[in-house]
Amino acid sequence: MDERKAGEKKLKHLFEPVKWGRFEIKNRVKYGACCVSNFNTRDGFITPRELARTKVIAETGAGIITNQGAYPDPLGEGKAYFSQVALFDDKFLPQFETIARYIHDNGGMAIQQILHAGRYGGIDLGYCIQPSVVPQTLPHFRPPREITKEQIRETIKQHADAAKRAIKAGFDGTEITSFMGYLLANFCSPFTNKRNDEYGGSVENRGRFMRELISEIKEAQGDDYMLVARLNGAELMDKWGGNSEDECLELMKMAGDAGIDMISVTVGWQEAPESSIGRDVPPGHWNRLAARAKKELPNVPIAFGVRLPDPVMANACIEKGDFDYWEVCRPLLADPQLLHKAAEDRLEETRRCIGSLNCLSRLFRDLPYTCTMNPALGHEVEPEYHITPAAVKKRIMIIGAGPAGMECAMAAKQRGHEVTVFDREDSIGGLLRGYAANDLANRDDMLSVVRHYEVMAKKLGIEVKLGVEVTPKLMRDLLHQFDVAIVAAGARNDENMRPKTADGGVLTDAYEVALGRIKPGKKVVVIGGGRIGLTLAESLTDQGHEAIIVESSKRVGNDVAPTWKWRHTSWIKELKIPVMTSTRVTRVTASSATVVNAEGEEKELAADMVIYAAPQKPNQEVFQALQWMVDEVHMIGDAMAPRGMTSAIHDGYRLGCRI
Amino acid sequence: MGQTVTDAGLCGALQRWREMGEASREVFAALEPGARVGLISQAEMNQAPGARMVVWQAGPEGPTTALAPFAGFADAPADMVFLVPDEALDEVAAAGPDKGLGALEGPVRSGDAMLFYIAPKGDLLDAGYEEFMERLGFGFLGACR
Ligand SMILES: Cc1cc2nc3c(=O)[nH]c(=O)nc-3n(C[C@H](O)[C@H](O)[C@H](O)COP(=O)(O)O)c2cc1C
Ligand code: SF4
Repeated sequence: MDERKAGEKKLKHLFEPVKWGRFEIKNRVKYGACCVSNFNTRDGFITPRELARTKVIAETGAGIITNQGAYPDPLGEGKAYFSQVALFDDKFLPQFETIARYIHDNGGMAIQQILHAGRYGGIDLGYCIQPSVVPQTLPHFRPPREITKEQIRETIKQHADAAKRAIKAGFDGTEITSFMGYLLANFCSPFTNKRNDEYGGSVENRGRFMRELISEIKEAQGDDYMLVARLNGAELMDKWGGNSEDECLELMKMAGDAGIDMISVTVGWQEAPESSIGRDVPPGHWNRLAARAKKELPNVPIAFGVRLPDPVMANACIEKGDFDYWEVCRPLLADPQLLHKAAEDRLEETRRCIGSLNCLSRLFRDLPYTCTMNPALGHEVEPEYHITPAAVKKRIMIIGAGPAGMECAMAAKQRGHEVTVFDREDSIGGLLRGYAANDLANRDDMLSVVRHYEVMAKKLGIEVKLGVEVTPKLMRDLLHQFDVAIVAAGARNDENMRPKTADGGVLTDAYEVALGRIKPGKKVVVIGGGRIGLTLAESLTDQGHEAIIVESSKRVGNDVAPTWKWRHTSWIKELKIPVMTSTRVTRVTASSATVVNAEGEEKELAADMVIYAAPQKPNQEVFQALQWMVDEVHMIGDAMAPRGMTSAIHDGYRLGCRI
Repeated sequence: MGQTVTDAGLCGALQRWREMGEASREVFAALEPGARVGLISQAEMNQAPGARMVVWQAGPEGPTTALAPFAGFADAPADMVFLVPDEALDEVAAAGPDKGLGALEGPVRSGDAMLFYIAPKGDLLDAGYEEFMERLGFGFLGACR
């Protein structure tokens, strides 16, 4: 009898078991090392916080699990992150043994990554080592020193010793990585390798470090254990003298000839001038690189998954022969249950990774990683972040069906509370719908969040009352029907900051335009260069309107994540949107907006619509009224302080877990 | 139209770079006195260790502009350096003296020119480079792509 679950039958290529040497790999999914978490001690020891997180990873159901990269040298030249784990001594073994056991207990093959960060390393040292002195293009990283030949020998030996140690801890194999421009990539790439000795110059010479690494690690760990190399299919550094895609392929062939057991194809360097894994890269965009590698190296197993968040697409790629293993990282951060949902044919319940890069960008601030979509990530060790049965069952009303309100509703409902969500709009999603509709990066990513709430509200049986505004009058009618009221009513434009209108002038609310309720004019002035104003101006310009942004502070994008600002600045340039900073709108008429700059110079801008997109004010009014009507009153999300989606989701979930 | 920057070479066009620095007075005001920003062309860099680069140095009276020897990045005489390919030099200069260092933004953004940080992050922050870069239209921390 076929005992496979419904989803396993549907996605039969993805869930097909495969044999490698003495190992039975239960499916074609490899969890890609995606966990340089900054949860560990400054001297390389794994903490309980990390172990709890890794247990969740081990339970994702992936056939191969790659544990996060450990640096192999005692000096820390290879150390990329503030609290990266180390594997240069046996003293680190106990926690690695625990991790290998977690993975085996869940039927996975355990791979330990050895990560020498090269150009991005030496985080505690004040310098980094790389093949040649090529200064940093990102100030976060350390000034470079050239690695000597003796150091090359020593570094290779340290990698081999670390591999041996990983095997001793119970791992089934190891991995070396050139992801995002680490040491292996630095040797392979002519951008950072300008040496004149046998390690530099031709592709053959640049690949020497990799070949020696492969040969010594294989010798150290033995043929019974797998060795994976993560190699760039494209560096996206060719403009700056890096490898072309053809050269990348040549290096992969070299790795194949050197006896590598699997190649994981990655894309891009941290500092590359193009996007590789951001939200502005369409899902599936890089699949062609894996397909090319597979075609040229038919006998080497190829793993791939960069910005490929969809198991259905992955299944189709494996069927087509584009690659052999779906190597997936962020989608499993966002939803550790993704593979189980796929196996049970419940994919519609998935919390999709929306490519926000909150995870990776926090590492640039030396902070632990977190995930926009998964508020529990990194807090697995804390019972307060778990959904556990409520001690007292309560009747909860939530005002606002945006991300904060819906997250809170979902967590509270799963804990056994009775939950009713009210929203004055006629759909779930709040202002996120307006944002999603205008997002130039990837509208469907943001809309997937709204769809998730709609699906889960139905599945969990959360009552959602739409088109109902919660007012003190309504509350008097509802008196004593609820034990808890949660204000998740978001924020709105601050009416006290609005410029004067005259001669029939009207200020149009940004949300009304964003949500498509008011048709935008042809010539538009957008007041406010924050997240909302920028998104709207970009979208309107993209649709053929003429938009000008007027911002009162010195710069635009003050409420945008620091690592996403570049995206707006680039769009503004590409779309040629005029931006007036340090400028205020003082008067709005039916056909113009009068602006004054910091020097006091006045100018009249022709406009058939003036859109008001700033600043934000929390919707807290109802809170005061509720305080004397309901036992417990709470406030979450933008209603507490306007901060955006990540905070809204996290606030909502945390409160839902705790009420 | 006079001699182009390409004809004159990076170092032969010092007056242009001086005007560019002057036009960026407000941007340089973000920096501590003594902070140095370099500009070098690919052709000039290829002549290292005998090469020279343009250096703008922040000071209380505004930036000064001078040429300085460039023997390689390991000890470049600046905290950060713009490396501009020869083909892009004229584009930068043609943006007009009033654009100041802002003329470098386009070529860096498109990947034609490069921006190298020579000093460590802490020193850059202390010297005011975060604000300097923001004023020029770049994010200091860089992108996450
Ligand atoms: C927070 C984070 C940490 C990562 N750490 C590593 C790492 O330690 N080693 C590595 O080779 N790749 C690392 N990666 C890259 C991932 O393995 C993966 O290649 C990349 O995220 C693209 O795949 P995805 O679109 O499925 O996330 C990391 C990615 C993220 C987001
Ligand atoms: S933070 Fe954003 S990009 Fe990272 S895993 Fe979560 S949703 Fe995906």
